[in-house]
Amino acid sequence: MEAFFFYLFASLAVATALAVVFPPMRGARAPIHSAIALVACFFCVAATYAMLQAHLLAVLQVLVYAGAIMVLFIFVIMLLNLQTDETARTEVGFVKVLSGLLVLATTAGVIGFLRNDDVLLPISKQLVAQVAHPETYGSIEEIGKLMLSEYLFAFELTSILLLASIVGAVVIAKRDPRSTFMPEALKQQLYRERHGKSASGRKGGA
Amino acid sequence: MYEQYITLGILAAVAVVTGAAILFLNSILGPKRWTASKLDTFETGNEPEGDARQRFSIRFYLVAILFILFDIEVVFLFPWAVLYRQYIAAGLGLFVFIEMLVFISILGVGLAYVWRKGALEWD
Amino acid sequence: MNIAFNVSDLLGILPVLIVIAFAALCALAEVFAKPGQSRGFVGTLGLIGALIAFAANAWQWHGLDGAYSVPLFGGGLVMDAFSTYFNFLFLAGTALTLVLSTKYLKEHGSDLGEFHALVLFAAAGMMLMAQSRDLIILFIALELMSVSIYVLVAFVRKSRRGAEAALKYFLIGAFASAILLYGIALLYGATNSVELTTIRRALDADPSLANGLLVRLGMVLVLVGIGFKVALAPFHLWTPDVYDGAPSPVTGFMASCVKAAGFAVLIRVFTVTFGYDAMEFGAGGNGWVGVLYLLAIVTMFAGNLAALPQSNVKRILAYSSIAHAGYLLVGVVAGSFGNLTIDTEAAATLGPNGAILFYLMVYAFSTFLVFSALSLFGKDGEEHTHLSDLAGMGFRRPFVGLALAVGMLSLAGMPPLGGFFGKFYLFREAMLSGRPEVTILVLVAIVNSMIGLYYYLRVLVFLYMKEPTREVPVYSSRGATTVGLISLALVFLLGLFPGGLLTMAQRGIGSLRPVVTTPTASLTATEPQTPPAASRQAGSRAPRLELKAPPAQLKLATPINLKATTTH
Repeated sequence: MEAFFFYLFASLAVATALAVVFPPMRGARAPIHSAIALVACFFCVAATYAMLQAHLLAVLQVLVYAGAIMVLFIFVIMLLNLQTDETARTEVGFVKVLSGLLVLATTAGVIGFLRNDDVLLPISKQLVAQVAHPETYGSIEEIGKLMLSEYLFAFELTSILLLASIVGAVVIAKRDPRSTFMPEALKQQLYRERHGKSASGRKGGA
Repeated sequence: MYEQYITLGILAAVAVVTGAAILFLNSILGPKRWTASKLDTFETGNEPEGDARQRFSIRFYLVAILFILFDIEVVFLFPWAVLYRQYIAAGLGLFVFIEMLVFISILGVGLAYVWRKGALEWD
Repeated sequence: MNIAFNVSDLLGILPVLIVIAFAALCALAEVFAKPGQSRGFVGTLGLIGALIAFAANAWQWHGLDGAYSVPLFGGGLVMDAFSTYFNFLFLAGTALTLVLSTKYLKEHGSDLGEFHALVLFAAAGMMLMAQSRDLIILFIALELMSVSIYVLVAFVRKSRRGAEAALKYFLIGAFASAILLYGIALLYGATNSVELTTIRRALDADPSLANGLLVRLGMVLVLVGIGFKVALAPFHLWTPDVYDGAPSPVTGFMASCVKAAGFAVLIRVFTVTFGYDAMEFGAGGNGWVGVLYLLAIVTMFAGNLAALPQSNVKRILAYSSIAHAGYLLVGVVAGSFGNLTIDTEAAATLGPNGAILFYLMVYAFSTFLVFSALSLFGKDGEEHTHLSDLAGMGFRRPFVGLALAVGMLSLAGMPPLGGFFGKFYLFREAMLSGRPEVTILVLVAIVNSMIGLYYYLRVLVFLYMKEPTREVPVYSSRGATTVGLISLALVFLLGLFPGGLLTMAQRGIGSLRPVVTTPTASLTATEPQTPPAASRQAGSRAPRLELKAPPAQLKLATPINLKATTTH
């Protein structure tokens, strides 16, 4: 039963992931189709997480990825609003095939260089970390406990990473009157509108 | 182990089936009489001009990305809220409270920054 | 459950906390200042933060015995001479970047306080990278650094090339982070831990695990992820475009500090986790040394050969930074063969030598010397760093010319500059191992250094022997002059009197050594250990180290112990 659902969701995840990269229909709508396929892919991955007892992760996958991040993706797609001619796919050329093969060869080479006899041994046999987990493993409580006690520093550090990201996102996406190509007259008008006084006396305009 | 997901599965199945059934029934049961004027784009009586697909403003993007960042913050609140009572019972209530206070204060700086910067305004 | 927190832990990351606090202050100062006001004062604020953190770091260095490492937050972070040494580098680099960039941002019409906030955030990330002994904290710290740098690369809004560079860097950087994270996941899957010493213990306990595919693959993916960050060939292809498109002060910051942070992680992860003993070619060990050996050769040639036809100074410096990453790898590889320390009395101990840390510091100051001059060339989002833009500059702006010339000579490794001694010690220590493989590697490095001479000297030819063909805007800035003078002084001083820094570097690398190799003894690996006799000797010879204070002194008199057990 478990194996059945695993193979079901795993193969669905792979299929939808492929549909993201190769949307079934070309043209202006292809990016949206890719995005929808990505949502489906996120759901399948979430189901796989749930089967691995990572319940909280499964919920977050749906909440954050299929919810919030997809909204961002859709916004970006609408922001760019690519026309048909812009989405025309470049042909798979010799160079691309070559570079793909090169990547595969490099990977194989690196693994081969670390030569050992059991490369082909099933990975499951090499696992030692097969710890018996209690029923509550992966629940919100268990993860919360780890987060608030053992990984307390990583947890607090996350907020600093988020803060840096907020500052970064605003710098990248916010149009600042002081750093764009706006003509001086328009800039002053904008300044007056926002601050209700003349901007003529200020320094460091641009 | 997965009993709790059975209800979820049933819910998902009902949702999908209902949605699909409504669309399907509508397409076979609903009468279709197409005329030229019915198929025409209706826009206050004027001839439609240009493409309906306009490029969105980058402001949407900024709002969306700020939403995600603060959304992730809320996600971290979730396990804390679930566990808070247990921590109080274990005598660690204040410690865990301060822990979350630090987390939220750091993001409070982010909120103050975003607010003052005017990134939440639609100017 | 154990709460991994002790109030005294906060003292162990005091410099980081100061940097983060000032980063937040800078962001708030930007938005609470008057809209029209110049944002130079935010830079000053950031500089004050960096200097206070530097002082706090010096205090930590003072209180540390080189052989001790103080675990913080339950072992997820560590404060040892290694991390403290790197923090000196990051904080000095941050301060120089902030001083350099204030005028630059005004000239390029991007005078925003966020720049300084992001530089400080990046610095905090780097410092935590050097301090982390937990792969999760390591990853978050790396992301903190990376996210800040992505934005800094695109900071000048008028620069199209900057935006393009940031996009390239972001895509490749995110890809690299994903690879690194995958590697971390595989290591966790194999060993059930993300803590470096615990991973090491698991690998020591079960050699079949250490040689298994899971660990090897995880190790390679971690190496690839870090390789992208420090621009090792063949993961270096983003480097020229990004270094060229980024604002010059940011390029300097990336070349010196981001690279150093990457090497800090590389050295700590690979020596602590995968060990440096019994890692010989083929037989037995994990073989990471072999991979690094090949990467070193490829990286040196890729950097030096690709730099030859370049005509843009920033691209030359990008390839030069790749080449330098290759030289540093020589040190890492050589260190893994043992018998390597500058201190011949302690020659029996294994491990990478202090020459790498010395080299990183010298390289950072040489880089800042070059960029203090190079950042002056340009205006309004347009940088003029083509070789022909430099023509005749040695006579028209003598100090700018001097800074560029000395910086290039130091990067090339000319005596008596710091760059020469960096290379000299690195290669000498490598030769001391007496292994034929390492000797070959050093010969390759020397050949590469000679190839490198061509493109470094070419810059000097343009500076002093060509007539200017066109007028380029070159502004003057007191900040850049200050950075130039400081770096110039340090590049000369480190060349003439390398002893002090070398002792510090030796002590820094020595603090990594107490990692235990036998499974039984390693159970106490997270506790401060009795230093090996060699390190103690090395420490006591340096006069400043006699002010030994045990790590306990850094703790509060009555530490509030929050270790508690909850039952459910």
